[in-house]
Amino acid sequence: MRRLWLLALLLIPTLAMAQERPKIVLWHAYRGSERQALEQLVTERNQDTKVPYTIELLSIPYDALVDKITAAVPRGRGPDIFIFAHDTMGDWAEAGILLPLEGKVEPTFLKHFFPQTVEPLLYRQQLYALPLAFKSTALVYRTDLIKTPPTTTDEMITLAKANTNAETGKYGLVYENALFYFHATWLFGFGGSIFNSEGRVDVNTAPIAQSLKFAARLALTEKVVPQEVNGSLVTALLQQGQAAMAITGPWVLADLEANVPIAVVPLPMISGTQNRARPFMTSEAVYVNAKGTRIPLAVDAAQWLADEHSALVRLKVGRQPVAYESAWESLPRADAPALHAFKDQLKDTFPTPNTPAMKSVWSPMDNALNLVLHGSATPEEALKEAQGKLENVIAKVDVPKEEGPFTGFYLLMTFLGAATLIWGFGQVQGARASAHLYEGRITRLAYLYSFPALIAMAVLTFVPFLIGIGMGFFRHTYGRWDFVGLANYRDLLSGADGRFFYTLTHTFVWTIINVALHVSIGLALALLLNRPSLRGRTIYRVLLIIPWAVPSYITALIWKGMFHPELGAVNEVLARVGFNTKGMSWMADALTAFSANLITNTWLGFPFMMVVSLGALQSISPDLYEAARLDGASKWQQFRHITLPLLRPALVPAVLLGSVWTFNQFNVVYLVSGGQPDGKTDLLVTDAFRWAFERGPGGAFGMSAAYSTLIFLILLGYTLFLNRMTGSLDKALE
Amino acid sequence: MASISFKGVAKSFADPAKKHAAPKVVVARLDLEIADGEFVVLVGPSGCGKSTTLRMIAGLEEPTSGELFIGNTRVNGMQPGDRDVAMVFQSYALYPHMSVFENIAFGLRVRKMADPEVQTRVKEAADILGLTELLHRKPNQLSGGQRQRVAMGRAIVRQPKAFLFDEPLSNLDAKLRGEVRAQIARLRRKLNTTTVYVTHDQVEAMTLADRVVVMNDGYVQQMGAPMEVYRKPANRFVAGFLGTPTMNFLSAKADGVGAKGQGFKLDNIRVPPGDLTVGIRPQQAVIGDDGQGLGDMDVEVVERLGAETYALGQLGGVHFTARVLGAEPAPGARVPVNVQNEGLHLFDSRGVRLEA
Repeated sequence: MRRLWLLALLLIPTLAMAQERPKIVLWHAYRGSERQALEQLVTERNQDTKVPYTIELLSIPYDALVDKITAAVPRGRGPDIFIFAHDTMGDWAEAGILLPLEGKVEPTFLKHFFPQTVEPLLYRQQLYALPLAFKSTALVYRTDLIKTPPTTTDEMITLAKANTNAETGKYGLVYENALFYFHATWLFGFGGSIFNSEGRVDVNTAPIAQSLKFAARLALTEKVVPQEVNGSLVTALLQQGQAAMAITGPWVLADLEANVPIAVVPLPMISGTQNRARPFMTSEAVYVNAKGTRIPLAVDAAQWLADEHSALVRLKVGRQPVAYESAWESLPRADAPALHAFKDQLKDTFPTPNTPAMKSVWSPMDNALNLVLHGSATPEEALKEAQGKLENVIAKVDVPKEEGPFTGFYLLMTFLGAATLIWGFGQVQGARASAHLYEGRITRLAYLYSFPALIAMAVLTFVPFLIGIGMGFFRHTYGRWDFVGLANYRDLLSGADGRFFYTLTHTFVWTIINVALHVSIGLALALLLNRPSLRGRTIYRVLLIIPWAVPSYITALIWKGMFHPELGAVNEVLARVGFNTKGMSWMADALTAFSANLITNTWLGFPFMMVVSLGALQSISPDLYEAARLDGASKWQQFRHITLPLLRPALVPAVLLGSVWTFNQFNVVYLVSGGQPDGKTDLLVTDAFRWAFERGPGGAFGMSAAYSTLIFLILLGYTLFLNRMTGSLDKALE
Repeated sequence: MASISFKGVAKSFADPAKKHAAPKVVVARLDLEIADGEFVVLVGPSGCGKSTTLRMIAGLEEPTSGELFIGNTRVNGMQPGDRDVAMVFQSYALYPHMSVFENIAFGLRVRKMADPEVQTRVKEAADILGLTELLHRKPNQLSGGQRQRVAMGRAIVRQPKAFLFDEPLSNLDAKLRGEVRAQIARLRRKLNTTTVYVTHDQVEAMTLADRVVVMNDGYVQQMGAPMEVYRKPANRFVAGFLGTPTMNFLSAKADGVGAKGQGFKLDNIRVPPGDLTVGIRPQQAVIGDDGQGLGDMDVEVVERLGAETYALGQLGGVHFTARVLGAEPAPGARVPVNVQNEGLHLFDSRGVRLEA
């Protein structure tokens, strides 16, 4: 009897293992009702035991998903299938991340989808994904403010003007006008295109200039559109009734509260032309990982996800504009008028180009828009500049597909790193060997204790540091690394686009002005706080530390909001005091953008200097000041001859630290001015960042690494120089 | 050089934390005339108000009431730098980042004196104090005694109306103290500047002062030449403060002819009847039979100082110190103690001196 029990016990796990179906991992970036729908579908599917696999969901924030796929898949990690927009498809296809679906999927299957949603999923005539949904913008308006929606842009402007009141902050129309993605609506409406007939980027054209003029007209002449808009602002203004119309996408339906009276219609016709405004359309699709281990099952799962049943759930529960055509028949228009309106827009959309070249188009075009919208340049000037930049960057995109001789670069770097460590240990061994026997025992113990920390430092600091330096000698394209020696450095330093030296000078100026301000304000406050007669000293000290305690990126975001031209606190306060700053954009001009960054960073930086100064001040004996007073020294003489020299030993390291931190102050510059206008307020670090994440095919990591190494060398030189200077100062103080 | 006058000066400090508490009185009332060229020592225990008095002369504190004159000028409210006085601090207060030369020269440079004259004066001061070889050094390369001399150099180079010394020898070890004390005495003979010197050490007071001002609890207890104050202390406090070892005090009752205390009887004491305190300096209380008997002492400790030997013990219920002239008593012995009439100091029930 007992043996039967044992047998049963042994069988259960094996039975369970036999029952366990292989897992198909699905990555997505859905939130809200879309996520709900997906989870519902997957749970349902997993309960169907006839399916030879289970699906495991992993939700990842939208911005992180792109990077994760690009980074993880080439290394053999990553999901089996994933859902994402189609615009990065070209990059991924080139990198060999995506599985071509020819022959894996029945051609008739594709006929079920709106043709506009399938087209963008082709790259070099190969199909790489199955469409799930389509997203584009349309005209969303508040039914309580607008009775009849406009059908032409003239009507739109008239309605908008009737609903705009600058005093109360009401706008007739709101959309993210500084983003090229949203501006494209007008661009295509005016008959413009991004690529010319030969497939090369050409933005310096008359129709695009006209569209820019139109956008400028809306913002600057008719003044019906606010400046510096982001997604949340659009939602907020619609929600509060501060905006009558908005150009936005289906995502806003999920974000608005249920009681807001809105309706959706397709975008209007451009007055004076026969064209309708045509927004970008994103085809949201499911891709199969070409490097996955269960491809047949993955393809099956992908097909199921795109198929009718899933489409119905996604449409009805997820409120997603699905690509499966017949699914819409089950949803009456009256039940979801907004969704149907987005569907109506579909035939007048332009799929976002999926070529790798497109990736580099966003930034320069955003720049051009910024210039035009702030009145800093004419559309022709802005487009000329954008075209110039594009030609520069894209020239680096069309790399010849030769196999590099060196793909094991990680091996090389690890070898170099290990060699350095071994050499280091050898030095240490040598030193130990020559030490006295007794001392040797002590030092051996010391090394043993510090070993764990040394290993941690090596892994977390030294090895990545060496790898970073090594990366600078390679050029990265879609996961492939080619050894190029010093080519990256050559390109940077020869000033291929003049950028490096301008940015270098700018960074130095930025650092010097900032540190000077931090030290003077910090020292002044410390002198004030040091008086024992001051009441409530501890309260002031705490209040003045708060800027330093708040994380810098939160500070940066708050200040950015305060610098908003129409809705920000800074302009409001300045206007009340008498300056003419109503609607002035801080980010339009290099000087004001720099000032905005400066103000934010100074707010962040003075507490540190204040604390250091205060500590040093309190260590100066009051007897010295009494002696000086008796000697007849004035307050200024006391400051110059006693306070300052005695503060120097504390201030020097503080200034050194402060200047290094300021030199590398990424958060403030990236978040407040964003390098605007036109990269003129970029620091070396933000520029390096842009090389890695905004330029180049698959990310110019090699260039970025070379850049970072240069920054390191500059700061190293500065530190050594300062150390030598203060070394001689120390001697002078003795 | 100038005289210094305190006319009805008082000083109290209000505690900012306790707004409604009464301010703390540090100097109750001070009327003091210091003559031009005089060396006055303010002496007393901690908290008696002597440092505050000095700082009022310097201008680092302002009198709460009363008037202060330096020479003929009323200096209430005048900045320290304008009073033309120099101070030597207990902590030396040397500027650590400047050389000895620069430290001494600082006061002159601040007043924009021409460089050649600065050089002359500083070298002169260094000469007087024996600092010439040390002029290029920094304060942290000097010994305590050298630092104090630099502080003095800084004071004398300005040729001020008065020198103020704030316990300058407290931070020095015993041997150095003697050396620097002698240096100060030599300086005084050479320069003849009005000096106000604050200390809690009565040896410095006795040896350096032209006139001693004994202070306690914000009041002046007695002022006069050192020997006068020593021989004729005005009250019990002054009697107990000056003189080492400390004076012995015995309670007694006077009857008009003599006095009677615990275990002893004194003749020829012609003071009004009443309670009495009898003070006897240990130097005058001798073990033996010669003189008026004070009773028997139970010896506890014998201290041999080399030139003198003292026996400490209990007499009449109180601690007592007596001088050993003959054979040393063993600890635990009971010995008689006697005193000559001249060695008796008499104080009434309030502690005020009585003339026999």
